[in-house]
Amino acid sequence: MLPDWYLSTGDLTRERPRAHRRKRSPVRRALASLAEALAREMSGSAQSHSWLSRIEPRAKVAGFMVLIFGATFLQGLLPLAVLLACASFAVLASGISPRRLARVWLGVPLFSLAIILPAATNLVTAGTPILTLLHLGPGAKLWSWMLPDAISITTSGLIVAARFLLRTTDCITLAFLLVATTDQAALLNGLRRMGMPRAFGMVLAMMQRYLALLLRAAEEIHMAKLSRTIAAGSVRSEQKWVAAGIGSLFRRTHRLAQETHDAMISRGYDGDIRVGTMPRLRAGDIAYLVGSAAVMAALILTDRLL
Amino acid sequence: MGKAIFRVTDVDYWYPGGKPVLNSIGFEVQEGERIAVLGANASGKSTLLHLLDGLYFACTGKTAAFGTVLTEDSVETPPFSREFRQRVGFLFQNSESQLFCSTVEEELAFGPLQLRLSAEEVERRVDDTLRLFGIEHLRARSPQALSGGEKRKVALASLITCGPRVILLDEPSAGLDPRTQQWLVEFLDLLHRSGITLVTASHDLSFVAETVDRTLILSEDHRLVYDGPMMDALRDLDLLLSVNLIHAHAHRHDEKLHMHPHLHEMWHEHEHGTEAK
Repeated sequence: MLPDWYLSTGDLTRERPRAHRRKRSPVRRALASLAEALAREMSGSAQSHSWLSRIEPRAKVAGFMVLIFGATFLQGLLPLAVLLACASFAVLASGISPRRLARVWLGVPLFSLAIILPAATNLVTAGTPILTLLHLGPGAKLWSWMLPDAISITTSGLIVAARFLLRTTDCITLAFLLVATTDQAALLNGLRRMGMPRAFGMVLAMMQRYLALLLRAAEEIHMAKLSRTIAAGSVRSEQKWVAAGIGSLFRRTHRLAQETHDAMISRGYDGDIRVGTMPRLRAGDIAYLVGSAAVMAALILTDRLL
Repeated sequence: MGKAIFRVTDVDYWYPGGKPVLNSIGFEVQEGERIAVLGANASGKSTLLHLLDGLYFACTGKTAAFGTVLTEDSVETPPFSREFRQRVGFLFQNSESQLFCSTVEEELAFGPLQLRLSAEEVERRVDDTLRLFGIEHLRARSPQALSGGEKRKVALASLITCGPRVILLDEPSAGLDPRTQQWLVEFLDLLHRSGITLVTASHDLSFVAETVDRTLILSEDHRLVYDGPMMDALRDLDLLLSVNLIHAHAHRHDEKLHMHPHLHEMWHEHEHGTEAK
Protein backbone atom coordinates (compact mmCIF):
# COMPACT_ATOMS: atom_id res chain seq x y z
CA MET A 1 0.00 0.00 0.00
CA LEU A 2 1.45 3.36 -1.02
CA PRO A 3 1.53 6.09 1.66
CA ASP A 4 -1.32 8.67 1.57
CA TRP A 5 0.87 11.57 0.46
CA TYR A 6 2.14 9.64 -2.58
CA LEU A 7 -0.87 10.22 -4.80
CA SER A 8 -2.22 13.34 -3.14
CA THR A 9 0.72 15.63 -3.93
CA GLY A 10 -0.53 18.88 -5.49
CA ASP A 11 -0.20 19.74 -9.15
CA LEU A 12 3.20 21.41 -9.41
CA THR A 13 2.47 22.65 -12.92
CA ARG A 14 0.06 25.20 -11.44
CA GLU A 15 2.97 27.08 -9.90
CA ARG A 16 3.70 30.38 -11.60
CA PRO A 17 6.44 30.03 -14.18
CA ARG A 18 9.64 31.94 -13.57
CA ALA A 19 9.95 35.21 -15.42
CA HIS A 20 13.51 34.58 -16.56
CA ARG A 21 15.33 31.57 -17.89
CA ARG A 22 17.45 29.67 -15.38
CA LYS A 23 21.16 29.62 -16.09
CA ARG A 24 22.95 26.30 -16.26
CA SER A 25 24.92 25.70 -13.08
CA PRO A 26 28.71 26.15 -13.30
CA VAL A 27 29.23 22.52 -12.20
CA ARG A 28 27.03 21.25 -15.01
CA ARG A 29 28.71 23.56 -17.52
CA ALA A 30 32.19 22.46 -16.43
CA LEU A 31 31.32 18.74 -16.51
CA ALA A 32 29.61 19.01 -19.88
CA SER A 33 32.54 20.98 -21.35
CA LEU A 34 35.12 18.52 -20.00
CA ALA A 35 33.20 15.50 -21.27
CA GLU A 36 32.71 17.19 -24.65
CA ALA A 37 36.39 18.16 -24.94
CA LEU A 38 37.54 14.66 -23.99
CA ALA A 39 35.14 12.99 -26.41
CA ARG A 40 36.17 15.43 -29.16
CA GLU A 41 39.87 14.77 -28.66
CA MET A 42 39.37 11.02 -28.52
CA SER A 43 37.19 10.89 -31.59
CA GLY A 44 39.33 13.48 -33.35
CA SER A 45 42.43 11.31 -33.38
CA ALA A 46 40.45 8.35 -34.65
CA GLN A 47 38.94 10.38 -37.48
CA SER A 48 42.24 11.27 -39.08
CA HIS A 49 43.33 8.63 -41.58
CA SER A 50 46.05 10.57 -43.41
CA TRP A 51 49.51 9.30 -44.35
CA LEU A 52 50.74 10.78 -41.07
CA SER A 53 48.45 8.54 -39.04
CA ARG A 54 50.03 5.47 -40.68
CA ILE A 55 53.58 6.26 -39.56
CA GLU A 56 54.97 4.13 -36.74
CA PRO A 57 54.44 6.06 -33.47
CA ARG A 58 58.11 5.90 -32.46
CA ALA A 59 59.23 7.40 -35.78
CA LYS A 60 56.47 9.96 -35.69
CA VAL A 61 57.24 11.13 -32.15
CA ALA A 62 60.96 11.34 -33.03
CA GLY A 63 60.23 13.29 -36.24
CA PHE A 64 58.00 15.79 -34.48
CA MET A 65 60.52 16.19 -31.66
CA VAL A 66 63.18 17.10 -34.25
CA LEU A 67 60.84 19.72 -35.76
CA ILE A 68 59.70 21.19 -32.44
CA PHE A 69 63.18 21.22 -30.95
CA GLY A 70 64.58 22.71 -34.18
CA ALA A 71 61.96 25.47 -34.16
CA THR A 72 63.36 26.77 -30.89
CA PHE A 73 66.73 27.40 -32.66
CA LEU A 74 65.29 29.43 -35.52
CA GLN A 75 65.83 33.19 -35.21
CA GLY A 76 64.65 34.60 -38.52
CA LEU A 77 61.00 35.40 -39.08
CA LEU A 78 61.02 33.94 -42.59
CA PRO A 79 62.14 30.39 -41.64
CA LEU A 80 59.67 30.45 -38.73
CA ALA A 81 56.87 31.55 -41.06
CA VAL A 82 57.82 28.88 -43.61
CA LEU A 83 57.71 26.22 -40.88
CA LEU A 84 54.28 27.47 -39.78
CA ALA A 85 53.03 27.38 -43.37
CA CYS A 86 54.31 23.81 -43.80
CA ALA A 87 52.76 22.67 -40.48
CA SER A 88 49.43 24.32 -41.34
CA PHE A 89 49.45 22.72 -44.78
CA ALA A 90 50.14 19.31 -43.18
CA VAL A 91 47.21 19.87 -40.80
CA LEU A 92 44.85 20.62 -43.68
CA ALA A 93 46.28 17.83 -45.85
CA SER A 94 45.61 15.41 -43.00
CA GLY A 95 41.89 16.11 -43.27
CA ILE A 96 41.72 17.89 -39.93
CA SER A 97 39.00 20.49 -39.79
CA PRO A 98 40.39 24.07 -40.02
CA ARG A 99 38.01 24.95 -37.17
CA ARG A 100 39.96 22.67 -34.83
CA LEU A 101 43.20 24.37 -35.88
CA ALA A 102 41.60 27.78 -35.42
CA ARG A 103 40.54 26.80 -31.89
CA VAL A 104 44.13 25.91 -31.08
CA TRP A 105 45.44 29.14 -32.60
CA LEU A 106 42.87 31.29 -30.82
CA GLY A 107 43.83 29.87 -27.46
CA VAL A 108 47.52 29.57 -26.71
CA PRO A 109 49.10 31.97 -29.25
CA LEU A 110 46.73 34.76 -28.22
CA PHE A 111 47.74 34.15 -24.63
CA SER A 112 51.39 34.26 -25.71
CA LEU A 113 50.73 37.55 -27.50
CA ALA A 114 49.35 39.05 -24.30
CA ILE A 115 52.49 37.96 -22.46
CA ILE A 116 54.96 39.20 -25.08
CA LEU A 117 53.24 42.51 -25.83
CA PRO A 118 55.30 44.53 -23.27
CA ALA A 119 58.46 43.27 -24.98
CA ALA A 120 57.35 45.00 -28.20
CA THR A 121 57.49 48.40 -26.51
CA ASN A 122 60.42 50.62 -25.65
CA LEU A 123 59.80 49.72 -21.98
CA VAL A 124 61.62 46.45 -22.60
CA THR A 125 63.20 46.59 -26.06
CA ALA A 126 64.95 49.77 -27.20
CA GLY A 127 64.72 50.73 -30.85
CA THR A 128 63.17 53.04 -33.39
CA PRO A 129 59.61 53.88 -32.34
CA ILE A 130 56.99 53.13 -34.98
CA LEU A 131 53.76 53.65 -33.01
CA THR A 132 53.32 55.73 -29.87
CA LEU A 133 50.86 54.25 -27.41
CA LEU A 134 51.02 56.71 -24.52
CA HIS A 135 52.61 60.14 -23.88
CA LEU A 136 53.95 60.32 -20.34
CA GLY A 137 55.92 63.52 -20.55
CA PRO A 138 59.46 64.14 -19.34
CA GLY A 139 60.59 62.82 -15.92
CA ALA A 140 57.86 60.14 -15.57
CA LYS A 141 58.69 57.51 -12.92
CA LEU A 142 57.24 54.24 -11.71
CA TRP A 143 58.54 53.94 -8.15
CA SER A 144 62.28 54.35 -8.70
CA TRP A 145 62.14 53.26 -12.33
CA MET A 146 62.58 56.07 -14.85
CA LEU A 147 60.06 55.82 -17.67
CA PRO A 148 60.55 57.16 -21.21
CA ASP A 149 58.72 60.29 -22.36
CA ALA A 150 56.38 58.12 -24.41
CA ILE A 151 55.57 54.41 -24.49
CA SER A 152 55.97 53.25 -28.08
CA ILE A 153 56.14 50.05 -30.07
CA THR A 154 59.63 49.77 -31.52
CA THR A 155 60.91 47.99 -34.62
CA SER A 156 63.21 45.73 -32.60
CA GLY A 157 60.46 45.07 -30.06
CA LEU A 158 58.06 44.11 -32.82
CA ILE A 159 60.60 41.64 -34.22
CA VAL A 160 61.14 40.10 -30.76
CA ALA A 161 57.38 39.73 -30.25
CA ALA A 162 56.80 38.34 -33.74
CA ARG A 163 59.63 35.82 -33.30
CA PHE A 164 58.22 34.65 -29.97
CA LEU A 165 54.71 34.42 -31.32
CA LEU A 166 55.73 32.56 -34.49
CA ARG A 167 57.91 30.14 -32.54
CA THR A 168 55.10 29.39 -30.06
CA THR A 169 52.56 28.96 -32.85
CA ASP A 170 54.96 26.67 -34.75
CA CYS A 171 55.47 24.44 -31.72
CA ILE A 172 51.77 24.35 -30.86
CA THR A 173 50.71 23.60 -34.43
CA LEU A 174 53.25 20.77 -34.67
CA ALA A 175 52.21 19.33 -31.31
CA PHE A 176 48.56 19.58 -32.34
CA LEU A 177 49.33 17.83 -35.64
CA LEU A 178 51.08 15.01 -33.77
CA VAL A 179 48.22 14.51 -31.31
CA ALA A 180 45.49 14.86 -33.93
CA THR A 181 47.00 12.30 -36.31
CA THR A 182 48.06 9.76 -33.69
CA ASP A 183 45.85 7.44 -31.75
CA GLN A 184 46.18 8.18 -28.01
CA ALA A 185 47.41 4.66 -27.31
CA ALA A 186 49.93 4.80 -30.16
CA LEU A 187 51.16 8.19 -28.96
CA LEU A 188 51.87 6.77 -25.51
CA ASN A 189 53.52 3.76 -27.10
CA GLY A 190 55.71 6.05 -29.14
CA LEU A 191 56.74 8.04 -26.07
CA ARG A 192 57.43 4.81 -24.17
CA ARG A 193 59.58 3.55 -27.00
CA MET A 194 61.45 6.84 -27.09
CA GLY A 195 62.69 6.08 -23.59
CA MET A 196 59.93 7.35 -21.32
CA PRO A 197 60.05 5.20 -18.14
CA ARG A 198 57.71 2.20 -18.44
CA ALA A 199 55.94 2.82 -15.15
CA PHE A 200 55.33 6.46 -16.13
CA GLY A 201 53.94 5.37 -19.48
CA MET A 202 51.66 2.84 -17.84
CA VAL A 203 50.39 5.43 -15.35
CA LEU A 204 49.73 7.91 -18.18
CA ALA A 205 47.87 5.26 -20.19
CA MET A 206 45.76 4.29 -17.20
CA MET A 207 45.08 7.91 -16.36
CA GLN A 208 43.90 8.54 -19.90
CA ARG A 209 41.82 5.34 -19.78
CA TYR A 210 40.12 6.03 -16.46
CA LEU A 211 39.77 9.81 -16.74
CA ALA A 212 36.87 9.41 -19.16
CA LEU A 213 35.30 6.78 -16.92
CA LEU A 214 35.45 9.00 -13.84
CA LEU A 215 34.23 11.98 -15.78
CA ARG A 216 31.23 9.91 -16.85
CA ALA A 217 30.67 8.89 -13.23
CA ALA A 218 30.78 12.55 -12.16
CA GLU A 219 28.31 13.45 -14.87
CA GLU A 220 26.01 10.60 -13.78
CA ILE A 221 26.09 11.80 -10.18
CA HIS A 222 25.22 15.28 -11.35
CA MET A 223 22.43 14.05 -13.64
CA ALA A 224 20.98 11.91 -10.84
CA LYS A 225 20.86 15.00 -8.66
CA LEU A 226 19.34 17.10 -11.43
CA SER A 227 16.62 14.53 -12.09
CA ARG A 228 15.42 15.00 -8.50
CA THR A 229 15.82 18.77 -8.40
CA ILE A 230 12.76 20.95 -8.87
CA ALA A 231 14.13 24.33 -7.78
CA ALA A 232 17.67 25.55 -7.30
CA GLY A 233 18.77 25.37 -3.68
CA SER A 234 20.71 27.92 -1.67
CA VAL A 235 24.42 28.39 -2.27
CA ARG A 236 25.12 26.55 0.98
CA SER A 237 23.02 23.53 0.01
CA GLU A 238 24.66 23.46 -3.43
CA GLN A 239 28.08 23.55 -1.76
CA LYS A 240 27.05 20.63 0.46
CA TRP A 241 25.90 18.74 -2.57
CA VAL A 242 29.16 19.35 -4.46
CA ALA A 243 31.16 18.18 -1.41
CA ALA A 244 29.02 15.03 -1.16
CA GLY A 245 29.46 14.40 -4.89
CA ILE A 246 33.24 14.74 -4.58
CA GLY A 247 33.18 12.31 -1.66
CA SER A 248 31.13 9.80 -3.63
CA LEU A 249 33.44 10.12 -6.62
CA PHE A 250 36.47 9.65 -4.40
CA ARG A 251 35.00 6.43 -2.98
CA ARG A 252 34.32 5.14 -6.50
CA THR A 253 37.82 6.09 -7.62
CA HIS A 254 39.36 4.34 -4.66
CA ARG A 255 37.33 1.18 -5.25
CA LEU A 256 38.16 1.20 -8.95
CA ALA A 257 41.86 1.70 -8.19
CA GLN A 258 41.81 -1.20 -5.73
CA GLU A 259 40.00 -3.49 -8.18
CA THR A 260 42.34 -2.55 -11.01
CA HIS A 261 45.36 -3.28 -8.85
CA ASP A 262 43.85 -6.66 -7.92
CA ALA A 263 43.19 -7.39 -11.61
CA MET A 264 46.82 -6.57 -12.44
CA ILE A 265 48.15 -8.80 -9.66
CA SER A 266 45.82 -11.57 -10.75
CA ARG A 267 47.45 -11.50 -14.19
CA GLY A 268 50.97 -11.73 -12.86
CA TYR A 269 51.93 -8.09 -12.15
CA ASP A 270 54.59 -8.07 -9.45
CA GLY A 271 55.51 -4.40 -9.29
CA ASP A 272 57.62 -4.38 -12.45
CA ILE A 273 55.69 -3.71 -15.66
CA ARG A 274 56.85 -5.64 -18.71
CA VAL A 275 55.85 -4.31 -22.13
CA GLY A 276 56.09 -5.86 -25.60
CA THR A 277 59.03 -5.57 -27.94
CA MET A 278 59.30 -2.83 -30.55
CA PRO A 279 58.36 -3.56 -34.15
CA ARG A 280 60.99 -2.80 -36.82
CA LEU A 281 60.74 0.55 -38.56
CA ARG A 282 59.52 0.33 -42.17
CA ALA A 283 61.04 2.18 -45.12
CA GLY A 284 58.23 4.76 -45.01
CA ASP A 285 58.89 5.45 -41.33
CA ILE A 286 62.60 5.97 -41.96
CA ALA A 287 61.84 8.19 -44.97
CA TYR A 288 59.57 10.31 -42.80
CA LEU A 289 62.26 10.62 -40.10
CA VAL A 290 64.94 11.58 -42.64
CA GLY A 291 62.52 14.01 -44.31
CA SER A 292 61.73 15.75 -41.00
CA ALA A 293 65.43 16.07 -40.18
CA ALA A 294 66.18 17.38 -43.70
CA VAL A 295 63.43 20.02 -43.55
CA MET A 296 64.69 21.24 -40.20
CA ALA A 297 68.33 21.23 -41.31
CA ALA A 298 67.38 23.28 -44.41
CA LEU A 299 65.46 25.79 -42.29
CA ILE A 300 68.31 26.18 -39.79
CA LEU A 301 70.81 26.60 -42.64
CA THR A 302 68.63 29.23 -44.34
CA ASP A 303 68.20 30.95 -41.00
CA ARG A 304 71.96 31.18 -40.54
CA LEU A 305 72.57 32.40 -44.11
CA LEU A 306 69.93 35.13 -44.04
CA MET B 1 37.68 -37.73 -9.05
CA GLY B 2 40.63 -35.44 -9.94
CA LYS B 3 43.17 -34.06 -7.54
CA ALA B 4 42.31 -31.17 -5.23
CA ILE B 5 43.00 -27.73 -6.72
CA PHE B 6 41.68 -25.71 -3.78
CA ARG B 7 41.22 -26.78 -0.18
CA VAL B 8 39.40 -24.24 2.01
CA THR B 9 39.41 -25.15 5.69
CA ASP B 10 37.27 -23.42 8.29
CA VAL B 11 37.85 -19.95 6.82
CA ASP B 12 36.58 -16.75 8.40
CA TYR B 13 37.06 -13.42 6.68
CA TRP B 14 36.13 -9.91 7.63
CA TYR B 15 37.15 -6.56 6.19
CA PRO B 16 39.15 -4.33 8.53
CA GLY B 17 36.78 -2.86 11.09
CA GLY B 18 33.82 -4.65 9.52
CA LYS B 19 31.48 -7.55 10.20
CA PRO B 20 32.35 -11.09 9.05
CA VAL B 21 31.72 -11.71 5.37
CA LEU B 22 32.68 -15.39 5.45
CA ASN B 23 31.86 -17.58 8.40
CA SER B 24 33.53 -21.00 8.95
CA ILE B 25 33.68 -21.89 5.26
CA GLY B 26 35.13 -25.25 4.21
CA PHE B 27 35.13 -27.12 0.88
CA GLU B 28 37.40 -28.59 -1.78
CA VAL B 29 37.55 -28.01 -5.52
CA GLN B 30 38.75 -30.92 -7.62
CA GLU B 31 40.52 -30.63 -10.95
CA GLY B 32 38.15 -30.31 -13.91
CA GLU B 33 35.07 -29.53 -11.81
CA ARG B 34 32.68 -26.74 -12.65
CA ILE B 35 31.21 -25.23 -9.55
CA ALA B 36 28.84 -22.39 -8.81
CA VAL B 37 29.04 -20.28 -5.69
CA LEU B 38 25.49 -19.09 -5.15
CA GLY B 39 24.17 -16.58 -2.68
CA ALA B 40 22.18 -13.40 -2.35
CA ASN B 41 23.82 -9.97 -2.67
CA ALA B 42 26.54 -9.38 -0.04
CA SER B 43 26.59 -13.04 1.01
CA GLY B 44 30.38 -13.20 0.42
CA LYS B 45 30.60 -14.80 -3.06
CA SER B 46 33.04 -12.25 -4.51
CA THR B 47 35.13 -12.25 -1.34
CA LEU B 48 35.42 -16.04 -1.56
CA LEU B 49 36.70 -15.79 -5.15
CA HIS B 50 39.22 -13.14 -4.07
CA LEU B 51 40.45 -15.58 -1.40
CA LEU B 52 40.79 -18.36 -3.98
CA ASP B 53 42.77 -16.01 -6.24
CA GLY B 54 45.20 -15.07 -3.46
CA LEU B 55 44.09 -11.43 -3.44
CA TYR B 56 42.62 -11.63 0.06
CA PHE B 57 43.83 -13.92 2.82
CA ALA B 58 41.80 -15.80 5.41
CA CYS B 59 41.58 -14.09 8.82
CA THR B 60 41.30 -17.53 10.44
CA GLY B 61 41.46 -20.96 8.82
CA LYS B 62 43.40 -21.87 5.67
CA THR B 63 43.03 -21.60 1.91
CA ALA B 64 45.37 -23.87 -0.02
CA ALA B 65 45.89 -24.01 -3.78
CA PHE B 66 47.79 -26.81 -5.51
CA GLY B 67 48.91 -28.04 -2.09
CA THR B 68 50.36 -24.69 -0.94
CA VAL B 69 48.70 -22.53 1.68
CA LEU B 70 47.90 -19.10 0.25
CA THR B 71 49.57 -16.39 2.31
CA GLU B 72 50.95 -12.99 1.34
CA ASP B 73 54.41 -14.54 1.39
CA SER B 74 53.58 -17.57 -0.70
CA VAL B 75 51.73 -15.70 -3.46
CA GLU B 76 54.51 -13.13 -3.75
CA THR B 77 57.45 -15.50 -3.70
CA PRO B 78 58.68 -17.17 -6.89
CA PRO B 79 58.42 -19.75 -8.25
CA PHE B 80 55.00 -20.42 -6.68
CA SER B 81 53.76 -16.86 -7.30
CA ARG B 82 54.38 -17.14 -11.04
CA GLU B 83 52.98 -20.66 -11.33
CA PHE B 84 49.90 -19.70 -9.32
CA ARG B 85 49.19 -16.59 -11.41
CA GLN B 86 49.67 -18.59 -14.59
CA ARG B 87 47.38 -21.41 -13.42
CA VAL B 88 44.53 -19.35 -11.94
CA GLY B 89 42.61 -16.68 -13.88
CA PHE B 90 40.02 -14.35 -12.39
CA LEU B 91 37.24 -12.66 -14.36
CA PHE B 92 36.21 -9.64 -12.32
CA GLN B 93 32.60 -8.57 -12.00
CA ASN B 94 33.42 -5.08 -13.24
CA SER B 95 35.14 -5.36 -16.63
CA GLU B 96 36.17 -1.70 -16.40
CA SER B 97 38.61 -2.50 -13.62
CA GLN B 98 40.06 -5.42 -15.55
CA LEU B 99 40.66 -3.56 -18.79
CA PHE B 100 43.37 -1.04 -17.94
CA CYS B 101 45.55 -1.08 -21.07
CA SER B 102 45.35 1.28 -24.04
CA THR B 103 44.32 -1.27 -26.66
CA VAL B 104 42.71 -4.70 -26.79
CA GLU B 105 45.95 -6.17 -28.12
CA GLU B 106 47.94 -4.78 -25.19
CA GLU B 107 45.28 -6.07 -22.83
CA LEU B 108 45.65 -9.60 -24.14
CA ALA B 109 49.44 -9.37 -24.08
CA PHE B 110 49.64 -7.99 -20.53
CA GLY B 111 49.34 -11.32 -18.66
CA PRO B 112 51.76 -13.33 -20.83
CA LEU B 113 54.30 -10.48 -20.70
CA GLN B 114 54.16 -10.39 -16.89
CA LEU B 115 54.69 -14.15 -16.92
CA ARG B 116 57.91 -13.48 -18.86
CA LEU B 117 56.93 -15.43 -21.97
CA SER B 118 58.94 -14.78 -25.12
CA ALA B 119 57.78 -12.10 -27.56
CA GLU B 120 56.96 -14.74 -30.22
CA GLU B 121 54.92 -16.78 -27.74
CA VAL B 122 53.03 -13.66 -26.56
CA GLU B 123 52.23 -12.72 -30.15
CA ARG B 124 51.08 -16.27 -30.97
CA ARG B 125 48.81 -16.38 -27.92
CA VAL B 126 47.31 -12.97 -28.66
CA ASP B 127 46.61 -13.90 -32.29
CA ASP B 128 45.11 -17.29 -31.40
CA THR B 129 42.93 -15.84 -28.65
CA LEU B 130 41.64 -12.98 -30.82
CA ARG B 131 40.67 -15.59 -33.40
CA LEU B 132 39.12 -17.93 -30.80
CA PHE B 133 36.91 -15.13 -29.51
CA GLY B 134 36.18 -13.73 -32.97
CA ILE B 135 37.41 -10.28 -31.96
CA GLU B 136 40.27 -9.73 -34.42
CA HIS B 137 38.54 -6.52 -35.54
CA LEU B 138 38.88 -5.10 -32.02
CA ARG B 139 42.67 -5.61 -31.85
CA ALA B 140 43.66 -1.94 -32.09
CA ARG B 141 40.58 -0.55 -30.36
CA SER B 142 40.64 1.07 -26.95
CA PRO B 143 38.77 -1.04 -24.36
CA GLN B 144 36.98 2.14 -23.40
CA ALA B 145 35.26 2.30 -26.77
CA LEU B 146 33.79 -1.23 -26.56
CA SER B 147 30.24 -2.29 -25.75
CA GLY B 148 29.46 -4.12 -22.50
CA GLY B 149 29.44 -7.54 -24.19
CA GLU B 150 32.69 -6.83 -26.04
CA LYS B 151 34.33 -5.68 -22.80
CA ARG B 152 33.36 -8.94 -21.10
CA LYS B 153 34.74 -10.94 -24.04
CA VAL B 154 38.02 -9.01 -23.99
CA ALA B 155 38.29 -9.38 -20.20
CA LEU B 156 37.86 -13.15 -20.53
CA ALA B 157 40.25 -13.27 -23.49
CA SER B 158 42.86 -11.42 -21.40
CA LEU B 159 42.80 -14.34 -18.94
CA ILE B 160 42.86 -17.01 -21.62
CA THR B 161 46.18 -15.74 -23.03
CA CYS B 162 47.80 -16.69 -19.70
CA GLY B 163 46.58 -20.28 -20.22
CA PRO B 164 44.98 -20.77 -16.78
CA ARG B 165 43.92 -24.28 -15.67
CA VAL B 166 41.42 -22.77 -13.23
CA ILE B 167 39.14 -19.84 -14.00
CA LEU B 168 37.23 -17.93 -11.33
CA LEU B 169 34.28 -15.98 -12.72
CA ASP B 170 32.52 -13.29 -10.70
CA GLU B 171 28.96 -12.70 -11.98
CA PRO B 172 30.01 -13.37 -15.58
CA SER B 173 26.48 -13.09 -17.01
CA ALA B 174 25.62 -9.76 -15.35
CA GLY B 175 24.59 -7.11 -17.87
CA LEU B 176 25.04 -9.30 -20.94
CA ASP B 177 22.56 -9.37 -23.80
CA PRO B 178 21.02 -12.79 -24.61
CA ARG B 179 23.32 -13.50 -27.57
CA THR B 180 26.51 -12.76 -25.61
CA GLN B 181 25.16 -14.75 -22.66
CA GLN B 182 24.58 -17.75 -24.94
CA TRP B 183 28.06 -17.34 -26.37
CA LEU B 184 29.44 -17.34 -22.81
CA VAL B 185 27.52 -20.52 -21.92
CA GLU B 186 28.98 -22.26 -24.98
CA PHE B 187 32.48 -20.98 -24.30
CA LEU B 188 32.42 -22.14 -20.68
CA ASP B 189 31.24 -25.52 -21.91
CA LEU B 190 34.20 -25.64 -24.31
CA LEU B 191 36.56 -24.83 -21.43
CA HIS B 192 34.99 -27.54 -19.27
CA ARG B 193 35.31 -30.13 -22.02
CA SER B 194 38.98 -29.14 -22.28
CA GLY B 195 39.51 -30.01 -18.62
CA ILE B 196 39.57 -26.46 -17.23
CA THR B 197 38.28 -26.04 -13.67
CA LEU B 198 35.58 -23.37 -13.42
CA VAL B 199 34.31 -21.65 -10.28
CA THR B 200 31.45 -19.23 -11.00
CA ALA B 201 29.98 -16.84 -8.43
CA SER B 202 26.47 -15.78 -9.38
CA HIS B 203 22.92 -15.33 -8.30
CA ASP B 204 21.62 -15.96 -11.79
CA LEU B 205 20.15 -19.43 -11.37
CA SER B 206 19.20 -19.93 -15.01
CA PHE B 207 22.77 -19.17 -16.11
CA VAL B 208 24.52 -21.44 -13.61
CA ALA B 209 21.99 -24.24 -14.20
CA GLU B 210 23.41 -24.47 -17.72
CA THR B 211 27.06 -24.14 -16.83
CA VAL B 212 27.83 -26.05 -13.61
CA ASP B 213 27.45 -29.49 -12.02
CA ARG B 214 28.07 -28.74 -8.36
CA THR B 215 27.08 -25.79 -6.26
CA LEU B 216 28.07 -24.15 -3.00
CA ILE B 217 25.36 -21.99 -1.47
CA LEU B 218 26.15 -19.17 0.94
CA SER B 219 23.47 -17.95 3.30
CA GLU B 220 22.85 -14.31 4.15
CA ASP B 221 24.74 -14.85 7.41
CA HIS B 222 27.78 -15.83 5.28
CA ARG B 223 27.81 -19.57 6.06
CA LEU B 224 28.11 -22.42 3.60
CA VAL B 225 24.69 -24.07 3.82
CA TYR B 226 24.83 -26.39 0.84
CA ASP B 227 27.55 -28.24 -1.06
CA GLY B 228 26.24 -30.72 -3.60
CA PRO B 229 24.81 -31.33 -7.08
CA MET B 230 23.36 -28.28 -8.81
CA MET B 231 20.14 -29.97 -9.88
CA ASP B 232 19.38 -31.16 -6.32
CA ALA B 233 19.82 -27.60 -5.07
CA LEU B 234 17.45 -26.28 -7.73
CA ARG B 235 14.77 -28.75 -6.61
CA ASP B 236 15.07 -27.69 -2.96
CA LEU B 237 12.85 -24.61 -3.08
CA ASP B 238 12.83 -24.21 0.70
CA LEU B 239 16.62 -23.95 0.71
CA LEU B 240 16.64 -21.45 -2.17
CA LEU B 241 13.92 -19.43 -0.46
CA SER B 242 15.82 -19.39 2.85
CA VAL B 243 19.01 -18.03 1.25
CA ASN B 244 17.11 -15.40 -0.77
CA LEU B 245 17.86 -16.88 -4.18
CA ILE B 246 14.16 -17.12 -5.03
CA HIS B 247 11.10 -15.48 -3.57
CA ALA B 248 7.47 -16.39 -3.08
CA HIS B 249 5.77 -15.05 -6.14
CA ALA B 250 2.10 -14.16 -6.41
CA HIS B 251 0.53 -14.76 -9.80
CA ARG B 252 -2.82 -15.31 -11.43
CA HIS B 253 -4.18 -18.21 -13.45
CA ASP B 254 -7.55 -17.16 -14.85
CA GLU B 255 -9.53 -16.22 -11.76
CA LYS B 256 -7.18 -17.75 -9.23
CA LEU B 257 -4.48 -15.67 -7.56
CA HIS B 258 -2.00 -17.71 -5.59
CA MET B 259 1.48 -17.47 -4.14
CA HIS B 260 4.34 -19.98 -4.07
CA PRO B 261 8.10 -20.03 -4.52
CA HIS B 262 9.53 -21.01 -7.90
CA LEU B 263 12.42 -20.28 -10.23
CA HIS B 264 11.39 -17.50 -12.55
CA GLU B 265 13.19 -18.44 -15.70
CA MET B 266 12.86 -22.20 -15.46
CA TRP B 267 10.11 -24.70 -16.04
CA HIS B 268 8.18 -25.54 -12.92
CA GLU B 269 5.17 -27.58 -11.91
CA HIS B 270 2.60 -26.81 -9.27
CA GLU B 271 -0.94 -27.71 -8.23
CA HIS B 272 -3.83 -25.27 -8.04
CA GLY B 273 -5.39 -26.54 -4.85
CA THR B 274 -6.04 -25.23 -1.38
CA GLU B 275 -3.57 -22.35 -1.62
CA ALA B 276 -5.63 -20.66 -4.34
CA LYS B 277 -7.56 -17.62 -3.23
